[in-house]
Formats: sequence, C-alpha cells, structure tokens
Amino acid sequence: MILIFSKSGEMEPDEISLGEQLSKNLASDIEMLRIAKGYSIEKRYSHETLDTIGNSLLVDPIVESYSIDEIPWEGYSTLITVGYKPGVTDNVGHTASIAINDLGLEQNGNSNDFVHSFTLIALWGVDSTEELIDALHDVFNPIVEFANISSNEIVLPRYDLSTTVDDDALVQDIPIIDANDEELIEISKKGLLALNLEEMKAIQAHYKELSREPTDIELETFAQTWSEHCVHKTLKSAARLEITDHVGKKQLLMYDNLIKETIFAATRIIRENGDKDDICVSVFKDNAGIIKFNENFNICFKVETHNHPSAKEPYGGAATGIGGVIRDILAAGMGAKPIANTDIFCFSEPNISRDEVPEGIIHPKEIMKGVVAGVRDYGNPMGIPTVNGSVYFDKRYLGNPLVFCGTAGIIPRKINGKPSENKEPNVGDYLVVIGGKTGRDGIHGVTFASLEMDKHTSSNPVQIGDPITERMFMEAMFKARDKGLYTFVQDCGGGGLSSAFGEMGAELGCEIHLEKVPLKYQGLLPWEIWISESQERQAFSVPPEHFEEFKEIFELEGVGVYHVGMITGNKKLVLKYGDLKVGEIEMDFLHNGVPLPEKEATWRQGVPVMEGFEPSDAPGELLKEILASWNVCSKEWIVRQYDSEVQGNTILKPLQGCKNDGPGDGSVIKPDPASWAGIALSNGMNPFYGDFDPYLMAASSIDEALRNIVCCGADPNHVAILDNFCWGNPRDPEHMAKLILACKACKDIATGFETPFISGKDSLNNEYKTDDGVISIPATLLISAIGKVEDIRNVPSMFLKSPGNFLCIVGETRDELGGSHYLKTRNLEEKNTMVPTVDTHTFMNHYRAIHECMNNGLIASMHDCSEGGLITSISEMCFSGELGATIHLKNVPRDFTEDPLNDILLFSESNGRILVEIPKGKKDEFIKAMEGKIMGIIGEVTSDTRLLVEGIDGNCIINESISDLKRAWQAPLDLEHYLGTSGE
Amino acid sequence: MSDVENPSAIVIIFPGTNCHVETARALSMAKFEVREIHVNELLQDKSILEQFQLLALPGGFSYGDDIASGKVAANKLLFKLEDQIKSFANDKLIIGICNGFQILVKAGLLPAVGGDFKIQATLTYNDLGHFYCDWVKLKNVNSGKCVYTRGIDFIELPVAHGEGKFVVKEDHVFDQMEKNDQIVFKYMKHDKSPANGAFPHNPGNSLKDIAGICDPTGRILGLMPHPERYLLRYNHPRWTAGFGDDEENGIRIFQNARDYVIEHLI
Repeated sequence: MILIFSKSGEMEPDEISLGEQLSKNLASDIEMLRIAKGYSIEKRYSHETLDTIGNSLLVDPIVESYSIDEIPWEGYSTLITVGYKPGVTDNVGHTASIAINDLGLEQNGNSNDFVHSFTLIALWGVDSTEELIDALHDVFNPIVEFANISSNEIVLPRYDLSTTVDDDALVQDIPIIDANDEELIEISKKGLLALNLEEMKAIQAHYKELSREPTDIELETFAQTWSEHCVHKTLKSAARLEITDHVGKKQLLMYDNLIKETIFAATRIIRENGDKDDICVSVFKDNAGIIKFNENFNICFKVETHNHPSAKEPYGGAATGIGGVIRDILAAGMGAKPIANTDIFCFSEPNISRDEVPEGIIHPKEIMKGVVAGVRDYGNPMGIPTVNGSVYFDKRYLGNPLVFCGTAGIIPRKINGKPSENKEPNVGDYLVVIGGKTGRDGIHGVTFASLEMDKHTSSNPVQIGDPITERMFMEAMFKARDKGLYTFVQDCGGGGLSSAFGEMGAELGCEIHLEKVPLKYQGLLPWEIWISESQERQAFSVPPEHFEEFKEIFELEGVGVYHVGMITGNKKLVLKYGDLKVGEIEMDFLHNGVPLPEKEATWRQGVPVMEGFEPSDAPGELLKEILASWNVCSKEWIVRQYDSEVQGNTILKPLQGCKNDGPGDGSVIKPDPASWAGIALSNGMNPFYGDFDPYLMAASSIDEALRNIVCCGADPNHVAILDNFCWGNPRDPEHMAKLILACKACKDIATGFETPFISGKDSLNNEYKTDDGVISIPATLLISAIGKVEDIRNVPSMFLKSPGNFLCIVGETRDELGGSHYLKTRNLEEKNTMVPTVDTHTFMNHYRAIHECMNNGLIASMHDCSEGGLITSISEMCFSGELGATIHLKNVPRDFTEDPLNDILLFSESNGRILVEIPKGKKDEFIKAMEGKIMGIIGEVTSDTRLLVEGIDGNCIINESISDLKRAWQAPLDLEHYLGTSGE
Repeated sequence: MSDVENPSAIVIIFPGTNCHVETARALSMAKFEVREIHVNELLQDKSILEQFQLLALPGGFSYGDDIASGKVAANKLLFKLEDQIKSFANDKLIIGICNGFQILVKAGLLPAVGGDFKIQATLTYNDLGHFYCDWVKLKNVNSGKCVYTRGIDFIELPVAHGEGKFVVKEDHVFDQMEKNDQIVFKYMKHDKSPANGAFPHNPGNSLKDIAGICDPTGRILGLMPHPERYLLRYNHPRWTAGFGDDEENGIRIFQNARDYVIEHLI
C-alpha cells in the first residue's frame, strides 16, 4: 500500500473544507485534519519496487510525499478510510494498474486491475465514533462507498467479488402457469420485475400455449423490454379523457394510441401538408431524431432523463445520465459525432432547512452540487462543449430531482454512398459488444426507474461512469464507420445487452452466447450478464468478413472487442450459456405482446380566477426580488464548471455580455469548418403554469423554446423539437389527465408552428412516499429545440450594444399573470390563474419577420421575454451590456385596461414576445419591415447606466442602477461562495 | 536539416485526449502538414517522429487525469519514448496546450532550467477546487526567447481546466526561469493590469499569474489557455459587439512556429 500526502505542514484547502464540513455535526472541535490518497496494490512487489512506483508514478514531488505501508502522521486520534465498494468502477485504480505496467517492473500476479484507490483521513481531537458516523453521512455516499472508522489502522474490504456458480444454478424455471393473480403479483414484486398483473397474465397465457414454464432469464427479458423506460407503454396506450369545464359542459377526448395520434401525428401532418421544405430525416425510430443541416451533413438531437439514480446518488446518477445520452448520439443512424451537450435540472430550493427534508432524501443543496459535479466530471473529459441549460426550483422536486441531459450530433448525409440514417443487420452478421466489462452494476436499472421511490428504495442500479473508455471507443468507432465495417450500432444502456441485442435482432432474430461476454469478476448468472447495465459498452452487428479489421481498430485504441453472438434469421431470441440453452423467445411476442389497456382520466377545469389586487408600491424593489429569485438568478456557478469551448466551434456562448456573464437565450455552434451555417440550441419549460392549465403549460414550453432559438438567430422554418415528459404516477387519473392534455397541446401547437417533433422520452412515476404522504413532482414538460442558423455572422446576441439605439417589443402584452414570478414573489398566486396563451399564427408571423430583419442587419441585440416579464428581460439586456435604458410603458402594445396596469405591463409573462434593440439609423427600415406586426418602440438605450421606466401616465416608476440590478441577480448562487465549496 | 519541403507537425493522441481535432485544424490553417497519431500506434513505430519538425500535445484528460493530470501520459513519454522525445527536444519544436502543458511539466521537459529534464515544477489543483471555464486576458511578457509568441503583446483566450496552478519546487527555479526569459504569458485583469492572483482573472491562483512558459531555448512552449479555440473572430466572446480579430488571434502562435520551422529546420 502506498499513501500520498501533502508535503506542507499547513492544512490544504481541501483539508480545511472537509474539516469544516465534518465540524458542523460534531460536539468536539477538530484540531487538525489531514488527507492522504491511498493505493492498495494486490501484486506482491518488493519494497524497492513499491518505492519506484511511488516515486515515478504516484507522487507529485513538488507538492506531495509518499509512504509505503506506513501512516505518515503521528498523534492523531482517529483514522477514517473511505473508498469505492468492491465492484464499483474505480477509474483511478484502473489507470494506476495500466500505468504501473508501463513502468516495466517485475511481472507478478494477475494482469487485471490490481490497484484499488481509497482516501485516508486522519483527525486530531475527535474520538467519538458514533458522532463521526453521523457526520460522515454528509461527505460520503453509502450507496457506492464504504467508510471505516478506527483509532489506528486502515481497513479495506475484500475486493475480489468472484464466486463460483453450480452448473444447476445457471438457469431456473419460474413456475407461473398455474399461479393465481396474487401469486403473479408476488412473483413480479419479488423479482423486482415491475411487471403489472395484466402483463404477468399475458406472459402466463403465452407460456400456457407453449406448455412450459418460463426461465428466469426469459422473465427478466420481458421485464426489461416491457418496462416503461424501454417501451413507453403509458404514452402508447389508448386513452380516454372526460373534461368538464367550469360551467359543467362535458367534452370527451379519445385516442387509440395517445402518442401516435398527438406528437407523432403533428410531425406527420407537418411533413405531408406543410408549405415549407421537409427538414426531417429520421424521426422517433432511432436513438435520436435526425434533421437536415446542409448539403454535406445532417444533425441529430436527443435528450434523456436520469432522475431516479440522481436522487439516490447524484454524482454517479448524473454522470451516467450524460454518458448514456452521448451513446445515443453515437448510435444515431450509423453513428453521429457529438458536438454539443445541454443540461436542464429541477431541484428543490437549496436553502431549505435540514428539518424539512424527509428521511431517505438527500438535501437539495447536496443533490445540486453532486449532479453538477457528475455532469462536469463526465461531460468535460468527453470533449463535448456544454453550451446550454437551465435550472428550475420548486419544493416538489425534493424527493425526485430531475436531470435532463441532451446531446446534439453531426453525421455526413452519406457514408460510403449510402444514406447514413439507414442501418440494417444481415443474417450471419456477428453480434459484437465493445468497451467495458460486465459486472453486477445497474441490475434492474430500468425496472427501478419504473417504480415509485421511498426511504427503503435501494440503489444498486446506480453506477459510476468511466468517460475515458467511452471517449476511446468513440474515436475508434468513427474509423470503423467510415470504412463501412459494421451494419448496425445500438447503445447498450438501460436494459443492457437484453435491450441492445433485443432491438438489433428484432426483425431477423439472434442468438447470444452469454459465456462469451467478458466479466469484471466471475460468478454472474446468465440472466445477470444479460440485463446488467454496466456502463461504457456499445453493441454492433459486424459482417464476419470485416470482423478482424473492426477488432484491430478498436484494440489499437485499447478498447476490448467481444464476439458474442450472431443474427440468425429465425425471428427468435435464443440465449445460450456454453452448450446450455437458457432462454428462447419469439421476437414478435417480445416486441408486440405487451398489453396496452386503455387509460381513463377525468379533468375538471377550474373557474378562472381574476381578482383585483393593489399594485406594488415599489416596482423597482420587486424587480430586484424577482431577479434574485431562484429561477431567474444567474446560474454562472454551474455554467463555468462546464467546458463550453472545446472543439473550438462555440459562436454564441451560454453567457454573454461585456463581462461574459449575462444570460443567453441559447447557444450557437458552427460545426462545419467549411460552412458559415450554424446550429442553435435552446429549451423551454414552464412547470408552474401546469398547476393551473396543463394544456397551456405545454403550449408555453413549445413557444418559449421556439422564441429562444429565434433570439439565437435560428431560421424559424428550420427548427425541430424534442419532448421530455416527467410526470407523477399515471395511474392517478389527475396526472393522467394532465398528460393527455399536454399531449394534445403538443399536437396543436407544433402543427400550428409547423415545427416538428423528432424524438422524445418520458419518465413517469416521479413520486416519493414519505411518512406524511406522497410528494409528486409538478407536471414537467421540457421542450428542447435544435435549429439551423443560415449564417452565424448575422447572430446579434442578447446584450445592449450602443447608446442612442432604440428598444422595441414585438408581440402583445396581455393580462396573463397566472403562474407568474410576479404573483409568486408577492405571494398572490391565488389571485389570478390566467396562464399565458399561445397564438401560433401571429407568433410565427412575428418570428419570421424578426428573423428577416436580423439577416438584413436591422437588429443589434434581441432577448426573449419570459420569466419575470418585460422588465426582467430589459434589466438583463442592460446589465449584460453595461448600458442604461429609458422605457415608456404607454408604448407597449396591450389588449387590456385592467389595473394594476403598470404592474401587468412590467411583469406579465405573455408568450410570443421578443425584445429587439434597433441600431439608431435603422429605425425606419425596421418599422417598415415589421409592417402589420404587433410591436411598439418602447424606449432608448442610454449611456448613464440606469434603468428608468415611465408608467402609463408618464410618472417615473422605476429608477435603478444597473449594477444594483446585476448584484441582485448574481447574489443567490454567488460565484465565489459556491465555487469555494466543490461538489465532490 | 530534414529533406521534407513543407513544415510538418505531429499531434499525439492519448486515451482521453480531446482537443486534437482543433489543434490539428490550427496547425493546418498555419500551413503545416499535420498527422494525428494515437500513442499506441506511435509506439509500434517510434521512428515516425523523425519526419516532423513540430510535436503537439493537445488538451484533454489523458488517462482520465487519474492519479494527477498529465502524469500517466508523461510517464508514457519518459518510459516508452525517452530517447525519441529527448532527441526531438534537442532542436525541434514542442507545444503542449492545457493537458499537454501538464504532461510537459510532469515529464520534466518544462521548465527544464539548467537544461536537464528533471521535475522542477508542477501544475496542481486550482485553489477553487474544481474545473473552471472562462475567457482570460493574457499579456505576453517574453522578451523574445519564445519562438511562438513573437509579435503578440496581448491576447484573449479561453481556459478550461481544474489543475492549472503553476508551482515551482524551489524559489530559485522561478528566478532562473525569469533570468532565462522563460515566462511567456501572464493573466491580466479586464483593465490589463496584473491579475495578482485574483479570481477569476487568474482562475487557479497560479504562481506569479503564470499562464504559459517556455524552456531555456524558447522552442518548447506550454500554456494552459487554448489558442486553438480562437481561430476566427467569431470565437471571441464579444464578437457581436465588434471585438475579436481574424488574424490577431490564437493562430499567430502556430504561424510563428511555422516561420521558425521554415527558417531553421527545413
């Protein structure tokens, strides 16, 4: 064992910070705390050899020292050893094993990973073990780590997990043919299968016909393939919704297949009837949606959620979330190159007290830090710029934080003369798995994701990611792709091999030899190998004549390649372990046998509330409060932890302005060095509107995503969108009703805008059972948009450019304060429930006209008008550009006369509005170009760095310094404060 | 002297390297013939190196930056390619960017005061404790020793790293570096005054605001900021407000290298 520790006699920043964290929960003071990095080495090396290893590899001699088999300090009262549990990916140990072999030392022992990393913490002045156990809960995660407290020794677990399996335990029949309903449910529950009674009965009927019992691996295959995570059975079901409006009138909505008749239908209608060019290339059927980009390339986009794992182990959960969606892009068509990441998170407010957090839930601040660190530590090494994101805070995300990870990719339109979106395996092709080895990690991940959680929910499904392996196979994969060495590629994520090969062989059938899958340790049962979700693997079908070359390319990168089966053509899934057949399932039943019973729901439309209330007596103060609210405030602390510049193509940054720190509406990258065209990414989400009107919640999200991407310079005619539904329990008729209404809105609004959906994903059952009842998340629909910018040189950005320029608002402001930050901040949420509406025809006319103006050089800056309303957006343009503005509210186009007039104009969040800065000499030209559109010139840009607002009657109602506004906006997630305390 | 007509550069890729595409693009734009090669392929035929006049170690996370950033890759060079690298360093050009800089320092190729390749300095964890990405302002303080930065006075470039705090083994190392004109780039504030260690201008609290250094010959350069990410004015964070330049940007570093190669190496 070798220990590496700081040379300095003074405590290092990480030691001070850990000491402070532990002290919070300890009665006695920590006098001193030191940390050492430990390497436990299994090979039996001589002391001299260990000395060489320490000296030439492990120690940084400038700042560190090392010791061999010896604790380097004296006088400590307690030692704590923390490390990854056996079987959890240990990247540092893995790299150390490789690097020690590079030293060319004596050969000794096995060649697998023989180094295990750990951390040793020594404390002076603390000896209460019990208190320490409590205190440690904040600094290590028992899901993936062990911790041992001792007075004088280092205690490590037994790392070798290998066991032996008796031949007769390799496969078991599970008797279900004669089981009654209760027994069927019990079998599903006991096996963590998450199959409901209808599904168990369908399987029972099928095996009755076959006159045999299913084997364990067969039942597991159904559980994986039929899971909500893999098959989206709620959205595919027939649905029936009875709506009663506020006067008692009833309306019935009926669908045979909800998603097909709403979201898919919108895309079909747009492609068939639209009066513009069809931009779609591949929609809904692949791992990502693919659209056209230019004559040489297509682009693709996918957003996934990784909610359940992130609740239990935020760091590992979020990291594997981003790892998974990147693999989706690598498996889009023949494999696309990832060019941008986007991350959207939903958390509970990070400042709630510990007492408010129910048992079994991690405090939201720790979740936020862990999630951000997890995305950072996986996303950055992958070399993909993270350019876009958002964070939403609501206390109902306490038990179920949401983690949306998205990746955009680029792929040549043709590869070896064939359209790159088409992939088909052939009979006789080898089935190949590449990348990491398989262990017990992530078993039952997808069925776990389909269940509600409570304090007893275990988290074996959570894994630690290894971005370097994924990076390595990505490099190799493109070489193999361009040489035409494979016929099909499939992500090996949720459901593991069962999902990847089940998908690949769905049409033709396949046979898998599970004993050929390389294992991290011996003793896995065939069914465990089959459904393990070990990370960083990808599945391919490779024609036998290309296999050797395919293998060579990956092995040069240091990536393992394993031939584990073949495409058969008998339309069956055959699973073998050596000579033993452990399972055989008809592909047709596997993929089409899942029962989809009709979902029933009812919805009672509330009476719209529009009560009067007093105007705010200090709108300037209220503005600062809104700027400082969790949802509006600066997210720079998060953005700066991500590499937004790698690949060198980032044109419009996530943060913009004179100090590079203002809030952009989205981002633009220029992925093709040979072209001035760019790709814009944005998103829209309004979970608060859903409390009053789920239809308008979904409609607003689509409009917001579109508005944002237009502000980034995308052509509104060349935009595609993704849906990500995160919902509560769909068996609850109210949640189901909200889901149906949101789907209906998706169809109506997407069709109205002629903006097609190209892919999507849903995550249901986001509920947490506490002793006081169930916490269900608000109905949350994330809309992510990808669009084409014809010429990136025309993009204006969001911050004010020049004194003397004019400010214009395009679009109408209405009395739509429902769900607004204004009412939230004033605690008047019940006073008005009129949520912003969407008029697709008018809005799209405006967006097209604005885009035309941008291309003609008539726009100096533009910014989306959303959370916090008109004045919040103007403030952001001012402080980002370090310029002031004078605003005349009487010039804001409106359709109402109700009081409080000024407040509604300032803070209403009406959709369809964009703020535009017009260069001073271009005003007339702009007005002419916008003829017939609803717009008003509402003010001028000034050099005096104050924001002045004249109310309707000409009085000055706001007079604020822009630096005060900026300070308010930056305060909650203050950079220095949050940066000082790292997530991991 | 080589018999090759055009300047040619080799870009070495380690597992986890992720900036090789844009580094190769920058070298191509500066009119180098460029070959990107995986270190495992290079080890199969080490003599390949002889064909090139410039060796680039791009940014990324070589071997995951596990153990310490750049350490395992540095050992790869020291234990598997020692003779070839030392002979390359003898008269040719080497540039290490970000992770490449970390590799050069941990292999002892920088700062190499006194000319011996011993470990004299390190790039360690930023004081703020984690990765940080932003654009920084840099002043070229080199008096002419460094062959890459001639004609550059002041430049803005992006940084993106978690371990960019330059630290020397003993004070005399820094004194010697200064005496030898080995300091190249220093972090500055918005108003172009010295950052003096202040966050976020000097993001990792690097010693004496050091962002880039060269060896005593000026032919080996290591820097934390990424010149290959600023090759167009449209990469600049405030190009929409008229900032940024199509010529005075990161490309100058690679063009200077090309000029040196043409003048001295072919």
